Amino acid sequence: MGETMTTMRFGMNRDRGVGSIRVDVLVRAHDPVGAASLQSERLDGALDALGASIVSRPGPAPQSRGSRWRWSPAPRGVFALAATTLTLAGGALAATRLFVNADTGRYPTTAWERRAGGPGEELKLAGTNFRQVALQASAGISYPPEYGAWRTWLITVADSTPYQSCPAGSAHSCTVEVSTGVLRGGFAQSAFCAWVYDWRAARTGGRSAEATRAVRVVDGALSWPAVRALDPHPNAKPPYTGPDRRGSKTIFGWMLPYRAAVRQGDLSMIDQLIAANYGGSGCASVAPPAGSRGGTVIPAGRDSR
Amino acid sequence: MSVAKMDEVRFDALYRTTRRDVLAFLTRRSGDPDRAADLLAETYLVAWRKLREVPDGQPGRLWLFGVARNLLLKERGRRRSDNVLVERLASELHTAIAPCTGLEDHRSGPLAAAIAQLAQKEREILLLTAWEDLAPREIAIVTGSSANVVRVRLARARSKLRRELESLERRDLSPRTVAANTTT
Repeated sequence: MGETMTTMRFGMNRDRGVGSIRVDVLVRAHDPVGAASLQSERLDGALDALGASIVSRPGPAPQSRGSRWRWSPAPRGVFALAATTLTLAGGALAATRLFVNADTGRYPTTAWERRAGGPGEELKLAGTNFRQVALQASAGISYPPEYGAWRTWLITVADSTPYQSCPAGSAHSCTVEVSTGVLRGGFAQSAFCAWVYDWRAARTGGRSAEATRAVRVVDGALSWPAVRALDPHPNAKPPYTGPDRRGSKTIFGWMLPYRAAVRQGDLSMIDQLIAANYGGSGCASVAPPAGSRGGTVIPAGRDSR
Repeated sequence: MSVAKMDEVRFDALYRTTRRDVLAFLTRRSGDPDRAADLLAETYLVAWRKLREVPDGQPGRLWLFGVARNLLLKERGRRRSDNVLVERLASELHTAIAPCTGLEDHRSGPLAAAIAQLAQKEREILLLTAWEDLAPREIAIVTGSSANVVRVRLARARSKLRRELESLERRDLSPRTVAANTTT
């Protein structure tokens, strides 16, 4: 009885002994899902339908296409992308003596390329003239008086986030690029925050005319072309929630609470939002660090951060 | 052919050549057709989004196993999909594997008990070898370790399992066990 039971359980001849059999053959014999069991037309039909639904989702990210590597604008993170990429450009400039044109003459040709990399010409961050090109790209984005150096700080900022490096294994040929659209988005974030700071300083300093002007600019920021080009319908929902991850993606939705607070004249709310660095990269990220100001001379009493 | 169309064609080829293997892997490892269907959808959604990172040929198959394995590891507490196509696949999967030995069976019995005695990493390597037919260097890619480490663990797993089965066999054939079996 015992012999029979053992033979049945282990599927072997006891005379050979357990030690002499190949263990993985024994394990294989107990595979709970036989290969043949998954060969059915109905199962194939279900798999086909699922596969078709997957390719109807947003397409592959283009980061690893060829040797080029492009930005993929993350929700609420335009500035972080822009600032970091600009930093990389600085490093690249220092490392090369040859003139490299930042302009590539390439533009996204398909909708998914625009979604993934942003609209506008792709610019080489290592371009010798990248700084000038970036300044030109941001020319239509206005900053408050005395905050103009935020624009240049965006280019020269040294503190970068680490994720914007060339992918491993491709460093020798990796050319980091940014679309003009994403670059302008970074400047838009920077300018928006500058106007929020300006409103805060004006309110604190009792300068009502300046505060009113700042309210007007902040109020219309979501209509700026640089914003709308990347995010036509900003919303305040957290990004990437729900089973369908397409619906809630927003890049500039973080501006909404700031705008609401400025509209209501709610200084404490603005303080809270700034203190919390609300908005992923947040307004605190775009303000030049104390001591540098990117060359800006901010009059005493105006630095209310 | 447009870039988007080329992506679709490439994904389709990848999906058709690997989907049964990945589905079998997920079904074995999860022990639940519903979860397997859900994780299969998630695995290929990742593959679709990262299609440009997926290598061609056998390395692509291993890449998918790696993704599926990571999703299995992260699955606890994960929200289940309510996609009707996933539910349809799960339903067909239930039907397809019903005539087999059954997922419940492979989690019980003496062999399952012996396998359960193995360390988690050893067990995983043994099952990837026996059920997924992967070589040590391929398992190394899937699990993110080195081929030598995999070989050592596999040898250890086989040795432990063999000892465990011998121990079970001796117990079954001991006079007390035989007597107990005879009286029942």
